[in-house]
Amino acid sequence: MKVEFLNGDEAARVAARHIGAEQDEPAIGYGAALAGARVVSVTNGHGLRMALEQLSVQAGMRLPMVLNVACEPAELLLAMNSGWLIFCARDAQAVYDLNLAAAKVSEHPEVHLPALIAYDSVTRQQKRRVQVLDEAAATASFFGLAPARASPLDAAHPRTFDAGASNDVALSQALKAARRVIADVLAELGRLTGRSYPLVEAHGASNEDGTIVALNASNEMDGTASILSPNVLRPFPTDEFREHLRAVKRVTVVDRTGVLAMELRSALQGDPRNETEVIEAVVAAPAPEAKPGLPPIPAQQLAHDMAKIRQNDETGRLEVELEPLWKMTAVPGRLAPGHGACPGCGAFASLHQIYNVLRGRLVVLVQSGCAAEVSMGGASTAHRINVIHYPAANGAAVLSGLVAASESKDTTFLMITGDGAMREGLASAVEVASRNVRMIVLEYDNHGRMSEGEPVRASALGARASMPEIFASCGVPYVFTASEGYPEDLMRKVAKGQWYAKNEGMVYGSILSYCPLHWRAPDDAAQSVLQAAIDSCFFPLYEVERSHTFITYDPDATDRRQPVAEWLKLMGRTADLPQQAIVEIQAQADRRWARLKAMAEHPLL
Amino acid sequence: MSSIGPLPTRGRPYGIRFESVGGLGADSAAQALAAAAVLKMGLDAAHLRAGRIERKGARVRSFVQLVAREPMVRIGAPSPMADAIVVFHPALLRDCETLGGLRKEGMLIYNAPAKTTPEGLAALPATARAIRVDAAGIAAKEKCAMAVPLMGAVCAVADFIDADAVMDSLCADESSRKAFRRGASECERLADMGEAEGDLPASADFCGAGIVSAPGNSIWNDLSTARSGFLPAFNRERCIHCAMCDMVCPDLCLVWEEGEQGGRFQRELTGVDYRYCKGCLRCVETCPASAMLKKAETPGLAERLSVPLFPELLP
Repeated sequence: MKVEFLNGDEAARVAARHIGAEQDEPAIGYGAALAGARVVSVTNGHGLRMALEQLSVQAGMRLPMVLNVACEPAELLLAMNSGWLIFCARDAQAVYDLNLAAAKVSEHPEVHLPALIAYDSVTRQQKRRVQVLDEAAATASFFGLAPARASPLDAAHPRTFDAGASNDVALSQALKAARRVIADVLAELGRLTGRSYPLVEAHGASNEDGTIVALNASNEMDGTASILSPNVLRPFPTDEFREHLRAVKRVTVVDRTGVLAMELRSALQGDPRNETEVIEAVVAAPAPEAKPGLPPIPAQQLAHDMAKIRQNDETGRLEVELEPLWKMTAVPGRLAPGHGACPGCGAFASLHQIYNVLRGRLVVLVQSGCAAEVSMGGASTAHRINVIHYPAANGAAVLSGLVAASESKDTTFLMITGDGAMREGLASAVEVASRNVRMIVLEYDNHGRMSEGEPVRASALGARASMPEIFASCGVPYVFTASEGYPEDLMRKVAKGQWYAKNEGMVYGSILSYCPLHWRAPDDAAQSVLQAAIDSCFFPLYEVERSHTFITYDPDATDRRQPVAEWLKLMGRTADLPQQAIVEIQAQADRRWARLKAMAEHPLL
Repeated sequence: MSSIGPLPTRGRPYGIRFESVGGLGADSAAQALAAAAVLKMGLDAAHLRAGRIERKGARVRSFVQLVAREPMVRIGAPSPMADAIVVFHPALLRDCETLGGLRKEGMLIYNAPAKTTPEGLAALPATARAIRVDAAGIAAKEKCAMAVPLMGAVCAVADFIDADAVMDSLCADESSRKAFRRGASECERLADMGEAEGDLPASADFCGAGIVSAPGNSIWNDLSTARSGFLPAFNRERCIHCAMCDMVCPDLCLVWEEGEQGGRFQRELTGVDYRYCKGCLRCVETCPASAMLKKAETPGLAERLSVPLFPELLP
């Protein structure tokens, strides 16, 4: 045994390394498990929601794998009846131990089911003393060899892998067998580690009037309260709960959804010796009082004309005449100060510029991501107009529903996305683009990746999918790239976007936005870093108007073209990039830029 | 292991809360303390950083709980109460949440220059100890993170912490070791600061409410602790009121008015509301007329220069 200081996620990753292959993305983990690998994934509540539709497929395939999920109980309840085994870990030590147990139960020949390990956000982040096995010796004897199973990689035995062919009777027998196997494996683990995990764990002196049932009860225990919390939730430990509650008159179930209380009631109902009353309780801090807001902005103040639009009859293109920047300071701010973005945040400079030129009434949907998180939350909001905060996967579809239900011809529908949320919501946004819904999607591109909570790996910068090209290929009337470092250019394009969204259909704009936190650059170096990204053609400025490509800034023509290395060296995240990665990013930038120029020159493209 | 006293709490963890803003090393210091307790001091400990997202300049709250291994006490989520609170920025003492939950026999260890008394100390329990150390001054001199001398002071006043173990886990070089020792020897106990009786009430947590019908009520937030030593000072004489600064300011803290009748400008920039300015200095970077200048922020400077955006609500 070794003592380490780890939080829940770290404990899960250490266990993953001891067990087999570590894989963060549950779908990729499914592929690896199908191929026969021992797979342990680590994700969060957001990742669980994204993976929900796969859970029953994985259970139906009777595929052993382990998924760690740091989530709140209400999120876990979404996954409860998916056919997965579910373990609840109350601290980092339990995360490590239960991973070992789950992996072994999961591949037991009578069980063969995927297992989920749930822990809450405190356990996820809280660093604790964790005793881990000395890898090789102990784990090898505990696990033995991974049992061979059918794999699509086995060409000699052609098979169809289809959860639709799964058998419900077999699944229910497997869950039944799991009750026995789990108890055996936990006992074996106990002999190895000296730590025991009964299916239902009791804390504090038993109290026939005041027993509480709670998931992942991680509160300090001073022994005065009698608390029962299940270490195993699926299969539901019916017998153990009956046993514990036989002498208890009243039990309070702490659970926001009511599902746990219902299950407990039905478990006790079937026990003639049990007359326990089950009470549901919702525990939450009282909602804070909202501080008073600002008065609504009068409509006439937003009916300004900061950008006059004219169609050029010769070229057929839109031309924009922008008022001088100082005039825009009279436009009332749709965003109030006091938001909590980082110093120097480019997303908010972008939003300010966008709001300067958009006229009239807006309905805004902000996809989850840093701009949403720092501008609203609790009883505080920086938004002075109607704003909807929505998870990343379906933001565009939701906004298109608002467009369909709106009777106003004068309302502009705007989705703000970024921080990687665009990638997660791509399927829905492409579907909306295919229907050419009259709305604007603007992405502040900060190279973030919200599902991971960290930015795109610097070495992978060159290989990123190009969102503007994806939307241009959908045939929407207007697609552009811009940067908050060129406010006039950005605002002209946004104004055109409003015209197109009003008259022809969907608009997508990608806006390069400074992110001093993730790019690891000084707060006040925005201008030079953005300029270098653009001059190196890593982020070229262009627009695709009615399917024709126009370059709006050509660094070759102005003799400002420079290698991407000049840009990469300005940021901490890329200052030490290996030469090979720089060469790859340069090659990608060159290829995209050459294609863009060729398209701009061609009369059809 | 050097000789250390027993934990002053029995049957429950000793809670230390670090109150800071991003970038001062508070969270790393808290983690170093907890790791030293587990790996070197024979204690059990937990470390948790509060808040979901990492942001520069944002409020950082980091919790350490220390507890003896025998008799076994389960550590859970951090309690809203605290036995010690370590404050990295004197301005944080203006916020009543900072000291929330301090126990009556607890202690406050805060960073402030000598001979200054930050606002807010009167809110302490009368029976609590207040310890001041000029961590910023020492850190600047010894070129290390401010957390190092502050941690030195924490270890000096809490005799149950093995100072050497914490120093080893926190300090990579001799100059930061020196800063750690200076923090320990130069901290000063202030007498009779607090006036409150009993434990301070725990501060309330926020929770989701679904619909917020108070547009723009973020104006009540005070973001001035997000500045890290500098602010943009506005020189109206030089300003050409072109609004380039306004385009790049993420914090919407510039104050504009109608220009004087018959004057050269129709719209004029009149100043900065430093309640919202996070000191990113992008306005300084962008200004073509050098009307915005980077200036070291001395006590009271922001209050003197600030022009309110909402004079009726927040003068």
